[in-house]
Amino acid sequence: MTSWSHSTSADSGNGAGEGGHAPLLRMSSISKAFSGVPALIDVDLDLQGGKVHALLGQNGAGKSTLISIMSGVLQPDAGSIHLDASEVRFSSPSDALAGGVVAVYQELSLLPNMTVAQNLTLGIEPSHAGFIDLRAMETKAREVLDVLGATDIDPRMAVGDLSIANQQLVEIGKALVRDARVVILDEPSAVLGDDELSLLYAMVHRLTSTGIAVVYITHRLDEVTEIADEVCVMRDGRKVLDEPRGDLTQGDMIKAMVGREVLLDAPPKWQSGQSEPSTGPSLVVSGVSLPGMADKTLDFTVQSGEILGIAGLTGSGRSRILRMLAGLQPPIVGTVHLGDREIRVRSPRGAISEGIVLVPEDRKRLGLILNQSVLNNVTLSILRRLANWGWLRSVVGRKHTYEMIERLSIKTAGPGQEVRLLSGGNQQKVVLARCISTKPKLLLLDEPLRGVDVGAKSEIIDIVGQVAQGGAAVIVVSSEIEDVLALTDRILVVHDGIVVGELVGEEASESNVLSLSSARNA
Amino acid sequence: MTTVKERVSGLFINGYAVWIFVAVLAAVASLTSDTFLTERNIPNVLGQTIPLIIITCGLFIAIIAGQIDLSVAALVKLTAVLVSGIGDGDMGKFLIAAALAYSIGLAVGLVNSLFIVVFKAPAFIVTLGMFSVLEGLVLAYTVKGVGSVPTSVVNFFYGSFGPIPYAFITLLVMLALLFAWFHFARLSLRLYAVGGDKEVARRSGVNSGPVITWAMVLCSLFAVTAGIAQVSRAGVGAPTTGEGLELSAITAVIIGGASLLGGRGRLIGAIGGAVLLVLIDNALNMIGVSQYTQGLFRGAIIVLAIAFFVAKRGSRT
Repeated sequence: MTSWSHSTSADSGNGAGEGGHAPLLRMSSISKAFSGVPALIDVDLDLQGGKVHALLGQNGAGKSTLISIMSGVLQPDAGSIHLDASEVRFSSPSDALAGGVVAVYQELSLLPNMTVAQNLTLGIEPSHAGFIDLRAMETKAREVLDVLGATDIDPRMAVGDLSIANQQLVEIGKALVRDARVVILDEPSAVLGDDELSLLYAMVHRLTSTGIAVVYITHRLDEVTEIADEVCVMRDGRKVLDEPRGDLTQGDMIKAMVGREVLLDAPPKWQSGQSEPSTGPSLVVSGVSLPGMADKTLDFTVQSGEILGIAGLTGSGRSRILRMLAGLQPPIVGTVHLGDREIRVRSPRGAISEGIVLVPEDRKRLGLILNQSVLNNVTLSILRRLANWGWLRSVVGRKHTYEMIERLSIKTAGPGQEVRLLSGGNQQKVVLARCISTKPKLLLLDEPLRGVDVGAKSEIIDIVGQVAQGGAAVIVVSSEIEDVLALTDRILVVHDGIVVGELVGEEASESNVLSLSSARNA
Repeated sequence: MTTVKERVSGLFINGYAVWIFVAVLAAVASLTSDTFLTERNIPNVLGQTIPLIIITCGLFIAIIAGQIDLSVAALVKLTAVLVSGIGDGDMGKFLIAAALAYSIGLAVGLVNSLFIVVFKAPAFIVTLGMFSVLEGLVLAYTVKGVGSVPTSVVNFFYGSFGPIPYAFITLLVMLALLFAWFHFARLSLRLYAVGGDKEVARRSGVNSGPVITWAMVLCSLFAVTAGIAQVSRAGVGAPTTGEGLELSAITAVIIGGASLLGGRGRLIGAIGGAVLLVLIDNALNMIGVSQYTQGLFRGAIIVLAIAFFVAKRGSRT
């Protein structure tokens, strides 16, 4: 160790060492709702200095909201936060920082053009009368990097020139420079490779050994077994489990994450049955490597008339498969056959002309032109078909839009209404309408039911089912396993760019998918 | 290890590349024209760079902070007519008018940032509006050249130490201070941080409001300084003083390697950009391109240069 130390964390470390009854940070009865929809309901959480608290839960369980409140990004509707037994109110991130609560987000928040030292000390630059003490700044950076075991990082390097793992290290260093007492790590392992994990674990141990309380969010249960002292599971905005790791098995945690209520709330299933797939495989993917995963290959097929689900954690490659097929990340390495011919798509336009369309994950940013009309959005991909010598036959476009509004029961004032004024579910239907207007042979759906209310959900499920019945092959990707299960009984589980399992029929259950995708080296 | 490609892209990122072009252009001009390297032309070119460099420094600060200021040229104009009109050849009144101009500059910067920071209006529109307001003020005050600048001030601008005007030496001292400021000031680091990513800065405990306010105020104060320099060189302030300077300054900043989106760029590059622009004008004059077609060449050179510089700046985002 170096001479670097700071008194506050050492003190709290001692406090926690004596049996850990006095929590460093206590959140009591925290509730938070977004436009009436509860995201957190009456959550209590105690953090002990020197311990790693794993925070688990599925997407939408309330983890992000909870840590946003802890770090001052959001304010709770009800409840209180105590730091060292005195009540605090974090009305902004700088309040939380001043209290020693630092969040390290999944999307790293560093400035790539600035140096390591500048990033580390941003906002608390050592300075006299507005002038920076460059030497003190670099010394401080050096000390923190040494504490984290990053002796090879030069504080004067631009952050953009560092590897992702080292950037994350700098990000955690930011917490140390700020004399952090609570460090929140939001899925720190999602951006790291296997070999970098041990580095991360060592870093977390260094943090806790100085008395810092660590909140560790992850989807990978083997990491919990590896590193956590306490396990806290969230589900549907409530805390459903909060125990020392002790004898908790991964099965216990999965059970807590999935729960029973989820099954009751599950969206209605699409009743296929009638259409027997099929006329042989429609999509054949063989020996394909995803961008950035050149050493891994994927093989799978989808029958025409079939819906295939793909599940996996963030970073597993599940969305990349769709982006690759849709021509968004050319070139395709490996071979892809659609129908009876091999296809090579180099752009979304090329993909569309091959009959492949993608309903993207982020509909507001990637799926819609928000400030334009329903008509413009629905017809955007088929303008060529609607035009004669470059002149749009507006009557045909209008008629087509009316048909789509009818078929998908889009609730809108009319074809001229701006899309941004529609609800989430109806916006998603507009994206879907644009995509199925092209009469696709392969329909790709990324998170098709995210942020969609229950009614629209079942309608979208029906439409996708009809498209499949019409003979198209369909692939659905979602982080919400229940959404995938609502559409299909055949699920591929991917992990790090390879297929780690296929679940069909009865086997395709939420807990099976979770345990397959959470296992690191399945 | 650094490859040749990285080194080249480093030159562009650090703002040195533009100076290579300045050197090449200066060399070409000296070889092809007998008038370029003369005792008359050198002080002339150096003098011409002064107002543009000053205003470029101001805009550089605003652009680094992720903002833009289109009102600077109108502020130059207003400063010029006020200083000349109110001063009217008298040193005492000249100083009072200069103080008045700086107060107006301060107010302009504060009003600009009020709209940007508090009302969240885009800087482009806010400062475009301010441009119109200031132009209106100028024309309400005078529609033709007014008053004069004290001879001692004009002499200071034309007097020189060898081929180097006193005013230019003053400018160099100013720039040295500014470089030191950029190197050591906490605010300058925060300009880069806020311009680079407001949300990252906020989450690190740096609020963008005060930083943007400082940037806009400094930019306006630099514009007033440029106005005083410009009118002192001209001897008399007219409503045409400083026309188009804002576009030249923005061009200079971008040629110098800064990003219009903020957070990236070096002052040395922006100054190089300003020098390059003045050289282009001067060289076109020297080789006898007519006033009427100069715009054509000038524009073409600038667009080509920017395409080249942006392409070479490399992949670092």
